[in-house]
Amino acid sequence: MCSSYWDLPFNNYNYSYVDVALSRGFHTVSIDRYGIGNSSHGEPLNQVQAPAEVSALLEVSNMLRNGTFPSVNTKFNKVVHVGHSFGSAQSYVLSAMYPNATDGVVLTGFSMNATWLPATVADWNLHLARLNQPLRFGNVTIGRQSRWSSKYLSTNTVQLIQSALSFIGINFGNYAVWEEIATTEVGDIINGYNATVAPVAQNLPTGYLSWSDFTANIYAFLTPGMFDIGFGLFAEMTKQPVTLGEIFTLANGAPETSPFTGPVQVLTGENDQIYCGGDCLATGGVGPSIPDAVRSAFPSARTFEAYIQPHTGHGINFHYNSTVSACREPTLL
Amino acid sequence: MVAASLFAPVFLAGLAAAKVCTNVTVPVNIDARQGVFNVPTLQSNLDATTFALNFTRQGTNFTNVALTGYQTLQFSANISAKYCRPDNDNSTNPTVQVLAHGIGFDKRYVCTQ
Repeated sequence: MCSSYWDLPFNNYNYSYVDVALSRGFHTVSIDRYGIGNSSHGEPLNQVQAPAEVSALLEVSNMLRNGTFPSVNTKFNKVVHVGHSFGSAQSYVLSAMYPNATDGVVLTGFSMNATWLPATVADWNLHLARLNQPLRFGNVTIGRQSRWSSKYLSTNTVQLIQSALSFIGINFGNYAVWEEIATTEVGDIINGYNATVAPVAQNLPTGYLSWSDFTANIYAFLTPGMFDIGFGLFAEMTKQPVTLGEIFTLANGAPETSPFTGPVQVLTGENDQIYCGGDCLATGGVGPSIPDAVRSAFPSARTFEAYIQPHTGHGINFHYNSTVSACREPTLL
Repeated sequence: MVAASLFAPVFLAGLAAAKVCTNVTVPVNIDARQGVFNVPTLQSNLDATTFALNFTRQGTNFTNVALTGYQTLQFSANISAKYCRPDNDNSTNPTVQVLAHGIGFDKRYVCTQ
């Protein structure tokens, strides 16, 4: 499957790492971390933090091992963990605190270097999630039954905004209006406006934050020219917030080493801005790559490999090379 | 290359049918010792910017400044999960991968379908 997958065009954003894992005989359980997505939303400062999320990850893992995971009859002898970014950090902490809870660790979009975390936070230009995307995270619901809303919902959004701006004397061409919507917070504010299925407004407390717009997303997660713009916009439209408590526990409190004795793989995009400052190979002569230094955090690992994915930023799965990296993970498990 | 792209939709359709997925709500008991931070409740985007400035100020460890102590929390929560297995799975001892997404995404990071 992997050799033919590399040749296929990027099609309707139907990306699936899960398909690749299943083609190799793995079963998968993908979770929304505690506090995020459709999982419970706790108090954002002192409840939704990394330790609570690691605890939830441990519970899920133990259930799979014990055969008590809801709706699944299988009792798995081997439970491995594949994380991305903060999910990698949490999978690492899991292996360090509960080494018997995992049989293999794949840490994608990750390194042990927190040097560029402040730059990332600065780039994000954090705003309240409930203000940034009110239809998803705030307290706003647009009725789709009323005469007024159905009239405007059927109008092309670009034309609607173009008309509104023109009405007050700002005359933009089509592409300029597209930019004013897609690359600024305007696009986030109206996100979900004309969705076929109305988003569920989560009414999150103010301690849930999000980066301000698509360009902030690109800076932190994507490599220009190496991703489909439409897929990048899809990422922006479906993004999830980060809590104050998560920001405090992004890098703090993790053990320096893990006693885990199984296989470990690290897979990070060459242009990862968050974990490599934009160039994972620029190590100043210290080691083959910045993520390779994760090796010293796993002194007892049976095997360790750090793979750097070319032409790829932090959000690995959104880049053109994503099928290559999907097929690379986890070759050691 | 043209032949490959003509072939692609059929091939993808075959792949898409090859898995069985279930959406599951997993009740978990969370047990975690974590920091108690003192940050005034954010009222506006201006406050969010103030927080970012505080967090990134050089020469100050704002995490330490905001930390007032620790607490152990024990509470119930729900984890939204998606379980997938191969459609023709006949393995007697399969391995399961637990996939944990990063900041700004959710479980769709590993499968957009």
